[in-house]
Amino acid sequence: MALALAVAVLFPGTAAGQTTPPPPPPDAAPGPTAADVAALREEVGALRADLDEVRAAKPTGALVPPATPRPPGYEAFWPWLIPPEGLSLNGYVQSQYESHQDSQDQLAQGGAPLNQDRFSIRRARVTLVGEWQYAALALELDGNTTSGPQVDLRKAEASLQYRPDRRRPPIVMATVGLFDVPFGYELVESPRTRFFMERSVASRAFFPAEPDLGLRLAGALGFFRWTIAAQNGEPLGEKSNFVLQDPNKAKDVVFRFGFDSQPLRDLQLAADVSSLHGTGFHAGTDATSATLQWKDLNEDGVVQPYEINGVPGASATPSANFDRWAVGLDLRMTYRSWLGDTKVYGEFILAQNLDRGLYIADPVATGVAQREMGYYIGAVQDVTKWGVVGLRYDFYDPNSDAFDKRGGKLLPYSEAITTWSPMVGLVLPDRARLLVQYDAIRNAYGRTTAGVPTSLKDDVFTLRLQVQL
Amino acid sequence: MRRLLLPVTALAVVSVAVACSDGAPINPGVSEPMFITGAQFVPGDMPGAPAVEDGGAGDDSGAPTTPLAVVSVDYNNVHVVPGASGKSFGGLVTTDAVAVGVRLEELGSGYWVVPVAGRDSQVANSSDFSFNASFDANDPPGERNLLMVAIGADGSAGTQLATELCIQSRIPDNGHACDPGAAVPAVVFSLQWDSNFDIDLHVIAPDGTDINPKTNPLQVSVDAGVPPADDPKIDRDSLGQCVPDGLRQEDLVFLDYPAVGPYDIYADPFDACGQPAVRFTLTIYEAGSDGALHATFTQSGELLSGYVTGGGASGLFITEKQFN
Repeated sequence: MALALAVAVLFPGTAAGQTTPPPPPPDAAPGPTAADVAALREEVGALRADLDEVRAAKPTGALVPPATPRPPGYEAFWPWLIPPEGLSLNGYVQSQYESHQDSQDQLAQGGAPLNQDRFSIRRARVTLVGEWQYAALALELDGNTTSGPQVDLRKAEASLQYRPDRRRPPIVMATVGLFDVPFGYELVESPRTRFFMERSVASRAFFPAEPDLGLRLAGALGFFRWTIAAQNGEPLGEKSNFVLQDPNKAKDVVFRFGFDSQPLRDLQLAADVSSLHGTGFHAGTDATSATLQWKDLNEDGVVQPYEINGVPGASATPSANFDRWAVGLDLRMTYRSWLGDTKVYGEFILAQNLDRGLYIADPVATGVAQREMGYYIGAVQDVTKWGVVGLRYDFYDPNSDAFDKRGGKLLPYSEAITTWSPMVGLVLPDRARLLVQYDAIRNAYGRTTAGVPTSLKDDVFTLRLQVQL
Repeated sequence: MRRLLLPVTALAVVSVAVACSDGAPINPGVSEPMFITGAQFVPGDMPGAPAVEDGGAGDDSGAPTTPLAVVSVDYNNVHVVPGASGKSFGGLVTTDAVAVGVRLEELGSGYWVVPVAGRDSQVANSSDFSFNASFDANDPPGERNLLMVAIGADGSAGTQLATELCIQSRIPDNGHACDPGAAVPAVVFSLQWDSNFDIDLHVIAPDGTDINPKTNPLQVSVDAGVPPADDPKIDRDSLGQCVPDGLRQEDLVFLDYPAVGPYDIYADPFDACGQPAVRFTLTIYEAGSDGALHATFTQSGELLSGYVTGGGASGLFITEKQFN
């Protein structure tokens, strides 16, 4: 109220120039006295002093930008987010029902359930973001029931940054901590904004989960985007004993360069090239003591003297490192029409010895480098602001040199996994999504009646509700 | 909202179409009476002409004489121990075969497909195949044919070859299931349970002897096939030291009729092995006039991890069996 009054007094012409004040009514009260005017002048002077003081206390640069219509392709991701100044809290819950064709009411060897037809909390995440002039903070916790109830640290980023224009990403930013591996688009795209349920098969094989520990340098200059990172190379979710640790001193180095531009008012284009060069680890073995071993040679279930053998103790074997690498290209385009945003995007990755989640690569054990290739192409169409429909095709070949032995011959064959993923959903803008996705998966896990590799039934249906703060 | 109708309908149509598409079924694993590691399970009847009485398709020299045939089958023992794992089989097929179908005759819901390996180095015009089979502990005891058939590249099949196996009884029967001439034991106390919990069967004989697999180890049989004919024996210490054996069963076998008097039977929760609880069933089998074992008493119960004795007591009393 005081501010409005001050503005009215400081800029009287704005109001006076617009309309002519109506004549006072006949029974109006008498005009202000000189004392009243003096008191008002004194009050305005005090308000002006207060306003100057407030302005002086503000940091240089623009104030928090007012809300503006989001441009196409607005789903920003780290480190290109532009969070509000100071501390802010975000969060979302993704709860779902899923049904898998390969579910069985049995337990796998070791006791893991083979049934996957179930309700689950896929992600329940809370994110605390701190944004200041030269420093930034991101802390994200994830709770889920994917493998039983568990809580993980997903982000712990401590950053120093130079971001003179508070409406744009930092020109340069240095981060140390736990952050998403900056390779390609899917890894850094937030699961909160992604409409498809999960990342593509190739991406999940190379990087079982997004975050890893390390140092990241990144920056944005105009449309140019660059990221350089050095990380332990043992990301969360990896199927090894060294998750978020590092058994070797070598670090995985990741480069990502690209652009993000808006050449037309309703068109956004972005593309990046990525590369990763790292060092994998083949674990050695412990020394063992001598043991007795019984092998039921005649399969009668009875111990015979000749079936008992002494197994001498074995010395420890040393661990070994191996090289791994990947290169990738990702493209995305978003166009805004009367129907809503149309997003078309894709990614292509060539790699060697990088599979850490599906067909685990270990060339030290096999003696042969494992060459991998994966790509996907997807499209998401808003149907007004209340609906969405999408389709994604992804392909992953975990071993380009796979052979199958049939009839005494070694025949090259494809272990590739392909997935068609149609998806539809209802959307409450910025609040909730109800999504349905069917993954039609073709693999090489099965065999025909003639013994030829074929697909094993593995399709997945998922119904997911996401609600966010 | 009507704009959503089209994509929703499209998704439903695509989903139904894809769901009905081809793809090998999942392997049923332990729900089948026989499981072959690394092979593909196919539901339904096994292809090929029914087996002939004289079996194989080779002549006396071992060389194949008919196209698309299983020529020979090799294995170590005709007997299958209940719940046996990794029983190995191998053999020869004609070179036009690319796979071998395998199933237990009249058991299970389908058959297994095993790819053929390479040319045999010793027998002309033949290829090798091999596999390891595991058997369900509850497979019906007795003689049973293992059927195999050679499958060609076009999916055609030859004549099935029948190989005799004998699945031993899960309840110790002195080999009666595979040799009807062998007399069954007079009495068997059988304790079975449902989780990897170390339970011990304790039986207090009329003379006060505590027969159990841990504190009376001299009376534990070392020959799991045929128990000696003198003292009663417990056949195994199931889950001993919490090592899973897949059976969860202990049996006290009286080959001859027991000494007269009362026998007190206990289930002793020796070690919970990390399990919260266990449900058990005691069954008493007695030899009938038909020469077979028949269940004459059954009692089930439950033990909690808090009841664990560590061998300090006989455990939970189940029943008293009186022999006259």
